[in-house]
Amino acid sequence: MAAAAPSWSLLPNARSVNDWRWWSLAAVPAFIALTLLLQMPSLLSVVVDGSAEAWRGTFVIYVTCWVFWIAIGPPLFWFFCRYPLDGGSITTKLALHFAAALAFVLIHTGMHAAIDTAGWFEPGTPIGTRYRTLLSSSAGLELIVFVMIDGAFHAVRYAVRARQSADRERELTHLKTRAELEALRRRLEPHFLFNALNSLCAMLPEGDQARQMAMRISDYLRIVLDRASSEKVPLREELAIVRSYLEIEEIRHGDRLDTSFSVDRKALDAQTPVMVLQPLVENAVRFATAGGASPARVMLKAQRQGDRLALTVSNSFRSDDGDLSGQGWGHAIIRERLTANYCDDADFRIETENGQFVVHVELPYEPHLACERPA
Amino acid sequence: MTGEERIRVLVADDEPLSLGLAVRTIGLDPRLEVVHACGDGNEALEALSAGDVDVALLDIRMPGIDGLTLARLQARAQQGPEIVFATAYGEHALEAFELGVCDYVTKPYEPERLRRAMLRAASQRRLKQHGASVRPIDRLLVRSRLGTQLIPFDQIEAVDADEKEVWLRVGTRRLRYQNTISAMELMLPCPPFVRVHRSFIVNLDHIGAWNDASNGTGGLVLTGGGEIPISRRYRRRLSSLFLGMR
Repeated sequence: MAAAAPSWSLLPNARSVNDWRWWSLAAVPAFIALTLLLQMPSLLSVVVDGSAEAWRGTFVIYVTCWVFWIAIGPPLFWFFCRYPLDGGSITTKLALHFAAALAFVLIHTGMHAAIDTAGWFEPGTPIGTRYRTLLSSSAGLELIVFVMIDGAFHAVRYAVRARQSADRERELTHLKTRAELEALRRRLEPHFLFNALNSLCAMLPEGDQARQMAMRISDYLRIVLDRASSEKVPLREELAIVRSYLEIEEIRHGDRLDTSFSVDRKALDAQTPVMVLQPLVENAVRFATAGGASPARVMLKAQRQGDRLALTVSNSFRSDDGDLSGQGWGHAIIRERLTANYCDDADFRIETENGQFVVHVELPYEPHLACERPA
Repeated sequence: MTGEERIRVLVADDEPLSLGLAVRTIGLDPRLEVVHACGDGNEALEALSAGDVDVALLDIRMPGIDGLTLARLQARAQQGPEIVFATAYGEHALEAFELGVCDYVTKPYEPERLRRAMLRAASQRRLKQHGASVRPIDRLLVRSRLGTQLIPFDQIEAVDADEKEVWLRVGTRRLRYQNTISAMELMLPCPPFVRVHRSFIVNLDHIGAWNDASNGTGGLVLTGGGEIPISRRYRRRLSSLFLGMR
């Protein structure tokens, strides 16, 4: 999501890359570095010489160069922001930039010709002569400098734009998911659905197994419908979804399914991407029960280890079965979600050990801020 | 109100099946009594004017006067009943809390959940009627070899039961207390206290790890050390409380 950037930051953001004032400020350190680089020969001679006189002279030269750059910078960046190379006719833009390059060379050289702190010329040399001499000797270098600045400007601009459009794309996907969930909610008519389930409960005596099932189904539906369509939820919410799902499976499979949860309290408030555990557990139940082992075992572990959150979902399978091809169902999507959320900071591993199929997920531990919910 | 007197409940729901279910569910608790069963909001409003209701269980969506309007009208009345909302989908939860409504249950509800809501609303009403003179109990007076001491509830990590008495786990100590575990369950507020076994009550705030198991071998590890078993019967309630569901 596009984070709200502070209005004045040295780091570029979507707004500042189109603002010549930001560029003029941000370029100051770059200009200082550029001057140091261009005037390296005189700096080296001072280091060799070492006298106070030489240091003072060099200092004056540097300050002059910086003042020139600081004077030229703002109009230059105003021009780049006003007439960037992209958009409009490229030939016109190129011609404009070429003209600007010429103007830059003429003006910058003119400044140096007018104020010669470097002592390139004999005192009393007419300004016209100085100008011509400087132009013929350094116009090429000045042109290259212009191209460098122009190039740097556009490189930064494109980088920021690319990141911005990636952010926007992610935001759009998120909005789309939310809209889909909202549409689903409307189509399901939760009021009608839960009232109908309540009527079903009314027809069955307390403690009846069918009534239990109706209750569990409504719990599951409610938690899925209610779940904030946010990207991340505290682990306790994700576990609540998993639990209400497992309660249905436990009724369905009876004693043939053994489930266990082992949850560290310190892990409960950890942020987790929503719907990462649920599909893993669903998968585990499907394979454990299909394997024919009795009872089929599904285990979930959540632990906080320092600044990491370790989640493990494991299930039993018949070792003579050998065919685990289907077990990886949905894993690609989960890997993708983890990468999207944590880049390389999340770990996803699969192991098979002693008749157990084990999926390890490891995330950085991020505490979830207290959610607003009436007590 | 003496222990003999039952809590008088009004139920309003426009759906006959749903109304019947609520009346039956509440009627199964000897401490509760349904005095009015109303098929719509207007009927409920009329019944409420009799002034013999402690707790009103109102469906939110009803033809005529809906539950929210009824609650708004009752909020103005002095000595009005405590209101508990019933709704199929909890979209009005926030509005309900703004109206000072005591609780709300979502349909379909666990029978126990509904009865607990009624009892809690009734004790809320009692507190209001007696003003500041009655404070909710938040500590226990325990006599031991070392003398008599007051133990605040939040220091009690768990309670386990013998035949006639219970033991309170407080830090490294185990204190004997003359009471039955069922009475303790009623006395200690839930949450954070929750019954997890025929002979154990645990304080959710002192749980370090939760090991749930469908085959009845699950248990809780207390932050102060020690393990408490979870029985199948209480497993579901514990997991929903531990995971912060209602």
